[in-house]
Amino acid sequence: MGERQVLFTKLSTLVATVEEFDRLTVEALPELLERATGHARRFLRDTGQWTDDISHEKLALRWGYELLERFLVCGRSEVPCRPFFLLDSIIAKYFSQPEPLCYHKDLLSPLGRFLEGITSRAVVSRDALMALFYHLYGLSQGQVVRILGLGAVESQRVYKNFERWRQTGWQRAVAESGVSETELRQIEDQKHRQPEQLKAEADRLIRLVQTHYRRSEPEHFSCLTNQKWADLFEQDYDYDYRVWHLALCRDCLIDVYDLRQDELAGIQSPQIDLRLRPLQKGGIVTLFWAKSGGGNGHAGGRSTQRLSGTSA
Amino acid sequence: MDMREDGQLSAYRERLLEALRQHPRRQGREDPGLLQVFVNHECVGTLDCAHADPTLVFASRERPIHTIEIRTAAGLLVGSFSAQEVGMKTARFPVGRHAIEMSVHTRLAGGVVRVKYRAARTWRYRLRNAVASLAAGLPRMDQREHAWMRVMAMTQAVLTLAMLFLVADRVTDRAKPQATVVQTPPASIPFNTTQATSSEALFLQEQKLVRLAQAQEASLQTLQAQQEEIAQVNRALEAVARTQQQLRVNLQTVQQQGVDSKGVAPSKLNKLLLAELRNAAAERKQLRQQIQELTAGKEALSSALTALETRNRELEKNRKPEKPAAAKATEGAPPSPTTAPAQVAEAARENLSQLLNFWVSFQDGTSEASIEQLIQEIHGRKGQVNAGWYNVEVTLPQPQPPDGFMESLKKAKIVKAVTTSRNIPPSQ
Repeated sequence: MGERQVLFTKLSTLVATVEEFDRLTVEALPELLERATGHARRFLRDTGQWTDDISHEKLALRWGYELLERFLVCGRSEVPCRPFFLLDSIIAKYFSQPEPLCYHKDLLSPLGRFLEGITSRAVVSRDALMALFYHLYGLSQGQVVRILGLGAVESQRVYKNFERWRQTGWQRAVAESGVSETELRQIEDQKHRQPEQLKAEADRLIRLVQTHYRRSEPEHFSCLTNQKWADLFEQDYDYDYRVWHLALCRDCLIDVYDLRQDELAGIQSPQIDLRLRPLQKGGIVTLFWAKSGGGNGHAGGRSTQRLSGTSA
Repeated sequence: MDMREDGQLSAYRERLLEALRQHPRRQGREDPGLLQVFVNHECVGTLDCAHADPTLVFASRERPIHTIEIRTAAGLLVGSFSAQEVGMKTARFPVGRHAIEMSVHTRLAGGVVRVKYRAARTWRYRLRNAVASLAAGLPRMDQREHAWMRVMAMTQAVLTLAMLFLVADRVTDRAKPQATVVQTPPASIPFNTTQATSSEALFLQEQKLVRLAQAQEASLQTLQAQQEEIAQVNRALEAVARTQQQLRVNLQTVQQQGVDSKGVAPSKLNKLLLAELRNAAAERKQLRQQIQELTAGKEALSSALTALETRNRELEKNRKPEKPAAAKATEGAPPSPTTAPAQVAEAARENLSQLLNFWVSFQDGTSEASIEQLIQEIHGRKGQVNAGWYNVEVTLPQPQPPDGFMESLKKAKIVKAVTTSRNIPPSQ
């Protein structure tokens, strides 16, 4: 019996302790990833959403990876268990949900994968959620704080979110969503050559992605009327709702901006202004350079960053 | 797919595998910050780990709970939990040095999730606890050696500190006069200056002696306290030994009686005794478990109470500046539909007369704490709960029509519907 066969047998037999589970799963990570990817591939095939190309393979790998991450953490509390069966059950449970995946052919392009990657990340990471305001609309942390009307403690958190996203979050999210540096450069190049076309394309895809991922919010996080938004800001409550909903709903963000326009002097109405890389720390210096020389400190040096009145 | 694409795919697979391998290490070192709690893949709230042992309670009224996930602000999955069967389930997940405790009560329709973050205790806290446990008296038999070790270590530490202090003081005393001689030649010092210097030096010496005496006194007190604690431990141990001896004597007596009694075989008696002892041990174990559960429950209750009190204080503080405005608004006219429930309750206290009994239902996912808070805000009294409807009774001020009150209550964010009915709960 080959080594691989032995491993498969072990993964199908009962694991009695958490230590054994950890040891076995570390040893068998490639096999487990292959199995989870296989499930994702089969689901896409069964639902008529599969084509034999690298984009679909990457998509299946990413979803397999996300499901495997859940299995590795959840499985520890399910011991004693049979690892393969538990993985299958977690995956089956996930795919039995209504519309579990955000699949659309246009989202397989580099721009689509980038937008879908950071938005799906935003659903599970507060850092990514706050960074969405920058990546989609070019809003800096200070501007985000003002538009959302956050208090002192929440504002500090926004700055921390941006900082962590700059240091590690962005890099990890982009790497895990499978967008390569070459592809990022291609999008930047398109932004330089055909800015309006890219903006229109991004606008369309953002609506698609936001509509899907807004489902991740609890039901009461649905869109509010103008009157309710006004009450929410006047009476100063529910910061969580503001952050979650406005990051994932462009229409409501514009409504809120219009409603609070008088208090937001110096900030333009949020329009699609795609930023591929995280907001850099030396914003003030960047602004100075941008005014005098036109660069912005980013790779490519084409677009300028917007800066808040308080900090960058 | 061509070779280049195959290469790209392999590289991507390797990157993902590496991320999975890094996962436990990231879990160990990442600062949890603001933990997000997901129920059935929906974020239902956050836990701020900067606070002391924060707790989140989420209740779902209609939809059953299947999965619970905890993620850091960076999105790292630190705890995941599957609650497939109806019933109670608990789990504990490490987050670096800290831990998350989770309990889920799943019902056929809905359920309750309770997540608590427990920050790791500092060494000071542990030391204080160790001393407190010693002072409290009876350590368990298997912990006796550890207790002695702790006492000895503490005594040694105190003695070493006292010795170091004495040595340092002696060295500085010797060094000071030499330094004075070197810096000022005797020929250049006038008589009165010398006298002043010597009196100054005497004063300094006196001060040092006083400090030394104080330090010695403190050390002695500490030693005495330690000795008292040791004596207390000794007394406790003696008490345990006496109890054991008494038990042995009792056993022997019972055995003797068993042998003396006719018709009962000694082996049978022994068996009976053993069974009794086993029962007693099992009962003791059960009792200990119950005590532990009760203690945990009490802790949870007290933390919830503290949180509620804090929240009340905040609300009271926020409400104070609004009081004059609310008084003006309610004077001579019923409050507008947009009047906040808290202001309505304020006016109600002034004119006690009209009783209103109604039924209210809340939005899905509204926590019990929020419901209690709202009922407190309107100064209501909660009655029975039926199929998600809460029976509430409030006392309204005379000029305020019940309709106005009901309208204002409907505007509260967590309220789904309100209706009046005497006895029968409204149908869903």
